[in-house]
Amino acid sequence: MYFYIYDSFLVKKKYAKTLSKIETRLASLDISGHKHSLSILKSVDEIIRKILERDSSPTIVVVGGDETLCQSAPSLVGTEATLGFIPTEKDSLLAEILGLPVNEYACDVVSARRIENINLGKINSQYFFSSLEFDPRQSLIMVDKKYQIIPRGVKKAKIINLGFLSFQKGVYRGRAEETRLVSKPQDNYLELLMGTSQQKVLFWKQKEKKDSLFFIKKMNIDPREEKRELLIRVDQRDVVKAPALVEIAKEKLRIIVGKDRLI
Amino acid sequence: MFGKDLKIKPEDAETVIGAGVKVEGTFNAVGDVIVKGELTGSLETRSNLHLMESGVIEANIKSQNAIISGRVKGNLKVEEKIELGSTAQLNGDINCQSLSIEEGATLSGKCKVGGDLKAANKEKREEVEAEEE
Repeated sequence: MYFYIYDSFLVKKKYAKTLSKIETRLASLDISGHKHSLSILKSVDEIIRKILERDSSPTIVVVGGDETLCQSAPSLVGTEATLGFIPTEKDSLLAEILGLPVNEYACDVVSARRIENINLGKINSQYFFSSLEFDPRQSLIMVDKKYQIIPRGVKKAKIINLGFLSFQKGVYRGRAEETRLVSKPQDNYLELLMGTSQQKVLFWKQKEKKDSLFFIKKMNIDPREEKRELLIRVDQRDVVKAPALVEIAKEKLRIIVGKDRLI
Repeated sequence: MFGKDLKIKPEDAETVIGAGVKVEGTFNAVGDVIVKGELTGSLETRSNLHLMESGVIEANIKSQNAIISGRVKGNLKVEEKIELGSTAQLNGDINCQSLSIEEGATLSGKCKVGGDLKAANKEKREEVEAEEE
């Protein structure tokens, strides 16, 4: 059975036409289902918990933005549920990686049900879908209990499960040249990308310069100084305090992808 | 020019130990390893090692091929070829199938080139894999 979770921002009037087109397309593909809208009073976790009580193997489709997709995924890890996504934002990075077109065009991909089993990351007991960010200068990093990474100039560290590893490669004719790699969430590895700050080039947005890239399965992040708090940002939203154990979750997530996916 | 997307996986991607970090301990990798920073302990990869001019390794190394332009203090066991660039400074024993040394490189240690190292390593790896199974 299909269940649709609508993002809270979709109540705005400007999305009415888009939603109407999506619902018409879903009906014509014969995959209409129960609709749940997010609000201040209704969280994603709560909605998903109720859906799973009713149906043990539902298809839950998030309609909206990347942030809500990231929030939905952890609740579905290890279940029989399948996660789908209908992005309504043109600049959705996760849609690009998963090979999904925007708005009603994504309905056909949901209907085609091309499913990938992907990994999620885990920080302590909490799952994460996309990435973690922390300040390596304040951290002690131990990988697989085998080697320690000692930062000596890198200012930013990102652990990526699913996402782009974008960084400034260099400067070409006065412009910052950017390279993007895509982290593959089926390979049982997390990517640890560390970067140094790059000076602003004319009017171009400042990007970090890639310094180091490690493929990791398990790592411990501890604060360098006991009295100083080290915060790790989870999926651009939550914050977890170090010490933290970061690893690949054993359970997988079933997710619908398009044929133009980058993973 | 912008937005070049590449799929990466450990087997074909490169681990990069940048100039902004130091690695201490037992470092095992699957794919190629590029070292621009510092590494102490031991290093092992089934693929290639590229030690850049700014890189410093104080460790015993095992790899398939090794291209050295930086400083190494430790023994090198390489299945195929070692290339020492003009800026390479190697202080340790080397064991490989073939060796090339560019003018300017310094090498201090015992040197064993040729022999059946590849077959010996393959046999050893098969033994380890059989034990793991």
